[in-house]
Amino acid sequence: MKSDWLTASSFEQTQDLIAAITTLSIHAKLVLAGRSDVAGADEVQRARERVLDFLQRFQRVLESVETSRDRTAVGTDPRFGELATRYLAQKERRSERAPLYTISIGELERLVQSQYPDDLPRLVECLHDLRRLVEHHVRADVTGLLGEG
Amino acid sequence: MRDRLQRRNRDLLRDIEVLMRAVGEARIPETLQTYRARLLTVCAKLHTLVQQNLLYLQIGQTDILEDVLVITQYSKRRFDLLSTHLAMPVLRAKVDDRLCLGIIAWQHQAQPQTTSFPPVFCDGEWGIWPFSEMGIPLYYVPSVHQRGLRFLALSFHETGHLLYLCHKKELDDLVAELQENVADMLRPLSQRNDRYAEDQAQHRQRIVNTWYAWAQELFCDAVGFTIGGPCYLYAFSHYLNMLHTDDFYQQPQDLALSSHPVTWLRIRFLTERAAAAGFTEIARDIDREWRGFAHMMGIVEDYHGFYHERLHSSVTQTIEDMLVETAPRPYTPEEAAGGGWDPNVDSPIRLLNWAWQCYLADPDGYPAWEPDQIQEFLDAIPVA
Repeated sequence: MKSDWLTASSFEQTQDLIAAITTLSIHAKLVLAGRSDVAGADEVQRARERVLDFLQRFQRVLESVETSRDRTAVGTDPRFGELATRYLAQKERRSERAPLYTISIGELERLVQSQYPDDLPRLVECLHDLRRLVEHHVRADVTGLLGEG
Repeated sequence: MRDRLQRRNRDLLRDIEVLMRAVGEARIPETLQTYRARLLTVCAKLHTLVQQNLLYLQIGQTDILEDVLVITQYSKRRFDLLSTHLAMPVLRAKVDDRLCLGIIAWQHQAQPQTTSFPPVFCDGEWGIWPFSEMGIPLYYVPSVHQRGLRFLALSFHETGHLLYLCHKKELDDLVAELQENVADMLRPLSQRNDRYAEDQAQHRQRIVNTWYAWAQELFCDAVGFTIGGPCYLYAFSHYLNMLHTDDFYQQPQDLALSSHPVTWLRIRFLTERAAAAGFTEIARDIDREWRGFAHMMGIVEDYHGFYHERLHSSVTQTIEDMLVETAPRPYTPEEAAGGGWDPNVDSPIRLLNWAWQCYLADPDGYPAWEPDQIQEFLDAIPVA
């Protein structure tokens, strides 16, 4: 029996997440530049909900890792657990200056939902870091399903 | 950079149009029509996204170029998935597909959670890519199994993966509890604070992680039996008993990377379930057969700490709870009894059980018996 159901499921979720992060990033940059977005309000809202849903799941996994005796995430795809571990490692590394690792996930949720233009530059920076974190994580899924390409 | 991105997106747009035309013009069985419509919707959304990319590139704002590149990469990956995998069932559709499509369609309709998913499959080793968000879970079925009745019950296992996704949060919570139990069982009573303790903790973590996929596989086995009854047990045992050593025993490093428990362990849980359901003789025969092969190969049961008898009740209870949560449609006593099949009255489950009874009673006569039954089944579903 094939064993790539987990890879396929993870591929679908993370690819859509990367697209949603990018939609929000473009939207924020265009608002900052005073331009109207090609993407409709519905599309931007769907992207916002997608990112928020991910952040809520991510927060639960982070809590699971932080409270477990072995710092292991349970009840989730181990690769998602690894993503949380990598995030925590970056956050703990004092030399790390990327904005994503200087704020809490709760604060990022607030930025994603914020209507204040002053929050947008910070949001853009954090979305950039979040996308890099997730992209690094999905490489194995892409290779697993579509080959080395 | 902008010019190159424009070129890439224009090429992609044309490729999507070519694919949509090919998918739209393909001759397919009636059962695949819903899948084709869903596939064309996914293609159309991608087409809109790529058009949007081109509009962004016309705006002339430099700081969004990196974002447009990311969306272009995403679009290309989505297109590759569509063209190399998801379009195949339509572009390579055959009249013979109707049997397998009919069984998948029946089971999707039988579970309330899966009625919206159209039936579809590709050639390959048994499996599923459960793309639930696109609404098109893709089954993989070996080409010979698509044309006969005996192994189609294995698709019930794959539907289990789909059911898992439909109840993901609740089932993940149950698996988390099981993983905690595994960790507790493995944790020493007193812990040292040295390199050895660190290695032990890493080993423990590998085992706990492995159980995330193992729990889902054991759940899917239980779903398969719950839907199909004895026909699933026979199909599972015959398909997986390749007489490879790997089916009975694996090295710790292989177990740590595995997504499925050792097949012998799966057989143990499955035969216990069958015996508890009253199929004691079938369960005993299969169990005896596997033990016999293991003895012949000189294999002693050993899971290197990845499974221990102390976990048995915890695993069994977790699977039970997962079944309660997902409530797969159970076989009826009449369906399990087989012994005949009336397409106007009976579900395909009775036919699949009858097929195994006929095969086991007369394996050499079975090839002559099967085609008429398949035809009767096909006569009862829409024609191409």
